[in-house]
Amino acid sequence: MRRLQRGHPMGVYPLGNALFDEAATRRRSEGLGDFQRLGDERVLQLLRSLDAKALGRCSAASSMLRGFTASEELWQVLGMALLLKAGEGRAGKSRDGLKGGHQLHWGGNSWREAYICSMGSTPAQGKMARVYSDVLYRSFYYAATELDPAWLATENLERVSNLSTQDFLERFEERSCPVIVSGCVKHWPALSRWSEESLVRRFGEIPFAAGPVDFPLKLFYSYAHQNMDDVPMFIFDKYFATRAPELLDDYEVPSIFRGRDLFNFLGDEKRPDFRWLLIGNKRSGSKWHLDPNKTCAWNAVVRGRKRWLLLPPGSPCAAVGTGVPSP
Amino acid sequence: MSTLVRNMVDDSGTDEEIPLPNVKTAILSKVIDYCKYHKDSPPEEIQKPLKSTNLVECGVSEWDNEYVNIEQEVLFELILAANYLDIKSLLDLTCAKVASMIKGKNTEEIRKQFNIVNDFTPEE
Repeated sequence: MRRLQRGHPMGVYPLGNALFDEAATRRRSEGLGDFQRLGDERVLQLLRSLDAKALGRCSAASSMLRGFTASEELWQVLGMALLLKAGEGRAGKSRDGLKGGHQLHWGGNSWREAYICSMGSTPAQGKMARVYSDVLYRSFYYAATELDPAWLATENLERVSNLSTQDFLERFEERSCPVIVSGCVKHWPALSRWSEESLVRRFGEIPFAAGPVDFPLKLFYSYAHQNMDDVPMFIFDKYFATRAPELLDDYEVPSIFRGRDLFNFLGDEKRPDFRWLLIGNKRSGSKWHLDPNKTCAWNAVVRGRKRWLLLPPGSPCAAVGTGVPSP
Repeated sequence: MSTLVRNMVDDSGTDEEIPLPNVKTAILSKVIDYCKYHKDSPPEEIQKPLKSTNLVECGVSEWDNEYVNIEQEVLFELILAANYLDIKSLLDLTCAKVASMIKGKNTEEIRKQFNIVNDFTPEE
């Protein structure tokens, strides 16, 4: 279960709330000094060029700058740099692990707290003076907002069970029609073996791909349980068959899809990527997209729930664009 | 190089005047200098976070480094102009320059440089 903060932990509020705070205007003006004329977006932009030490010195300058320098996006970049460095250390096949430098440990509830803990320090706690900024509040708001159940109430994708291969071909594949097939995975060992406890026990130190970085699985679960990301990172790993080949024993391709994998003819070396492990906490997911090379895919949910939103072919959706991605 | 100007030209062609009420003449002139210099040679991406207070060591060219060696007041006006005109490389350069001015300093020096008041209570 992911814990969400009720209020912003660094005392950030939407800009409009400043109307109720007489001291707000003066505090903003004095606390930002010359930076106030740049506007909040530009202040955040120039903070992106600073390392952790410089951010720390800035954060001590005023309560406004403390609010700005606490912005999660800044610390996520720094935290991911630690993961990338750890990955390079592994790739260098150093038997001692990382020589020098720090590893990312997930202590606390956020990238900022995790980074500070990873450096051996303790994040400051206690009451913070209010900072009013829509730019700073925005990402927290998206992360903390509960989804309205009404948005997810529509269920109009056909759900079938006991589907024969022939039925599947005629009713769905040949018509490019999506479908939910129940009962395909109930005998998979994965249903019991892919609990968090079991996966961490078996593969906790193995890194899995989550976008641009690799997360050791145990670290990933710590992050997934306690973060403030409005767009949480999720494991989306095409290398799992080489990194943790035992996982291949925990599932099998459902019978309705077997024997028609034409890419198989290219052999494993030449065929495009074809199997992924996905692990993510609540509200993680992909944006609108077309699958690579306009291929089709089957997805099985082993733990938790996944919401699918699908548009029919030819839908004018600006978010998808016209390009067809290929791996 | 300016996405704003390009969009206006795309919409209205090159015969129409382009109003830029948010940019002072002196600043626009400096922006044009930048655009003229870089029109055929786009600058390198500046590595973040900055590894040094010397921008040249961060991948900035000597010309660009000299270009932003200006009064703080003008530098901030340039940031606003680059933002308004939507010239990404100029915005990156000017923001990197300000960041380099923060980087080398301790907290008190940062306050002095940018006229920031320390409003923390003794407990904080």
